[in-house]
Amino acid sequence: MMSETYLNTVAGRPERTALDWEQKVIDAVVAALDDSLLDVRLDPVLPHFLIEPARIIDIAETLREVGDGVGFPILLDLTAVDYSEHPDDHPERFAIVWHFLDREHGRRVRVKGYVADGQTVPTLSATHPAANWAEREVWDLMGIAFEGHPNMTRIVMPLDYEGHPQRKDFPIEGPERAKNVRGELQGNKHLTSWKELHDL
Amino acid sequence: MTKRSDRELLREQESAKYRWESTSPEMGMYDEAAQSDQMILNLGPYHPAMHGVLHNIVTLEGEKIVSVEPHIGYLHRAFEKLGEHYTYHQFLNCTDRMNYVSSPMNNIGWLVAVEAMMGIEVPKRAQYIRTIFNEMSRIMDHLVSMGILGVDCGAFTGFLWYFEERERLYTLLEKHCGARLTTTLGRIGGLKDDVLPDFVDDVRDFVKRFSKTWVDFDTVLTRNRIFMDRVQDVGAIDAETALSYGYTGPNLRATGVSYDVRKTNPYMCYDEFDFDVPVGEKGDTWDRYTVRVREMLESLKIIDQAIENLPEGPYCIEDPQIRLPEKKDTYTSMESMIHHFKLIMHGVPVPAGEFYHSTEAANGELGFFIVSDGGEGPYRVHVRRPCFYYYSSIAELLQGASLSDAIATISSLNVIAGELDC
Repeated sequence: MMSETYLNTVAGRPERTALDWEQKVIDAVVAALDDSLLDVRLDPVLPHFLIEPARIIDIAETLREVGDGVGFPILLDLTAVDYSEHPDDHPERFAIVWHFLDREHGRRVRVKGYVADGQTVPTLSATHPAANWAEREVWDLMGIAFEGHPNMTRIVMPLDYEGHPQRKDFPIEGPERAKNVRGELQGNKHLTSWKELHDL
Repeated sequence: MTKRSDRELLREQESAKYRWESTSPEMGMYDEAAQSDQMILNLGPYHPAMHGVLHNIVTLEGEKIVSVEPHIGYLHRAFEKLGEHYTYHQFLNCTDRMNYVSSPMNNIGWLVAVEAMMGIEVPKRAQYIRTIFNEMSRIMDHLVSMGILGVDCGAFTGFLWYFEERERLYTLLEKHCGARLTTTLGRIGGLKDDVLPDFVDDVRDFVKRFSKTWVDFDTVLTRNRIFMDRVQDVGAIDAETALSYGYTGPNLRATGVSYDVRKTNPYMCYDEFDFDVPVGEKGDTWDRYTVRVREMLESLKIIDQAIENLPEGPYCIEDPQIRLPEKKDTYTSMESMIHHFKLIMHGVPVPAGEFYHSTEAANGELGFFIVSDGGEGPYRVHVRRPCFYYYSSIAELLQGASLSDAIATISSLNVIAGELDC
């Protein structure tokens, strides 16, 4: 774990040694998380931690005040990625990605945790109100629920909507249309014109 | 008693069907309110004071707001989903439609993010021209924000004055990229075309005129007693709460926190320009307004420095794997056509990996989180929209305020529905 250089998250960029502040953050997170910290990498500009998602509240508290003028009290961004069609191997289907900000120095930290379909993640909304809507958005579009969230409902899609559109298996043209068009195509019927496609 | 017609009976049945009953929790809300002294008001989604399709279900007691339930998503066009099916160049069109009040800024934010992920250096001239357009769109955005705030407080004149100036900026944009609103400005590696020869004069004219009109703007609203009384100490938020909600940009700076991505993480050529970051004190509507007013002058300073020091040289990177050939070459030269075909079909070579890059848009930190698998388009793209985080605090911000103050507060946050829902 405590190597001299760290892999880069962007392919083709060289491995690099951590900057002073990055090393401080890495040390603090290693001390706080121990076994729950799975991997440390360096983005071209920021450190990237792979953790067990169940420990997010601990890591958020660790990052809040690292010491020596380094601290990331602000939740900048929260999102999720569906890796089901990604060419590389990933331990689970989804990953939640948190970005934290140190506004005084313009430093950012990325925390990532893999979650399986149906697995829940602890909410950060109690300590970071910014997570409130961001987590609702992840639930709405990706279908990953956050445990302890005060209002885990859809936010951008209609309340009675079925499915989670940002998932890779959700067709871009919408499930109804996809069923009509693709279903017919699978039944050995070949379309000869655009008009026929329209009529389906 | 007269005999009722079938039609009347039918109407009665219909109305009974739609009468509010406590069958669903949402309807129960109306019943509860009716039993107390409270009243429920739907502000939006189509309401003259809701600029863009914002929907707030407001519970009122007299004129005081008891609670607000914001509903968003009326302008959700799933750009993040579309982005997974587009190439990096195609997604540029989507960014136009996010914050449509200052679309060049979103375009540039996306281009800078992709370029940073590829690790390429864009020519100086392109950087400077981008900076000029970037700051122009910041002025455009602030003009709308301030104008609308004036309208919501009953001052229509300012709005018309601001829009006159905005119109001139649109003309400048149209001259460069052919579009006024959805600009699709720039390409990966630089710009699509060099600016026209009279661009420098146009911008100089603009800088000269705007420094004069800025004084008029300042007079019509900033020194207006009625306006001051209307917005001072209204909708205040303290720095700590604002930060916990993920505020960035002018709304955060209004609370006294000096955070500007242009200063903390200089992208493009912002480290070469001399400008200040104006901050407010209380974080109320007045501060949010004055920070924007002062920011326009700073933007003007940057434009002035950039146009006076505009370097000569190429306006786009030379690497044919990245540079989209000029249109006239595409039709006449074999090599350019091949490059054009390759770039359109297979996209630019973005390395596999994960990357986050942010720029300072008019509303705050606009970040792009890109997951690439080395293919022609992003595997996953996520946009960190500043509005989304402002607006999530609206319930807390408006609680206890009066309805008319709420209108001014929402207006001063400058929430753009296109960016909010993305």
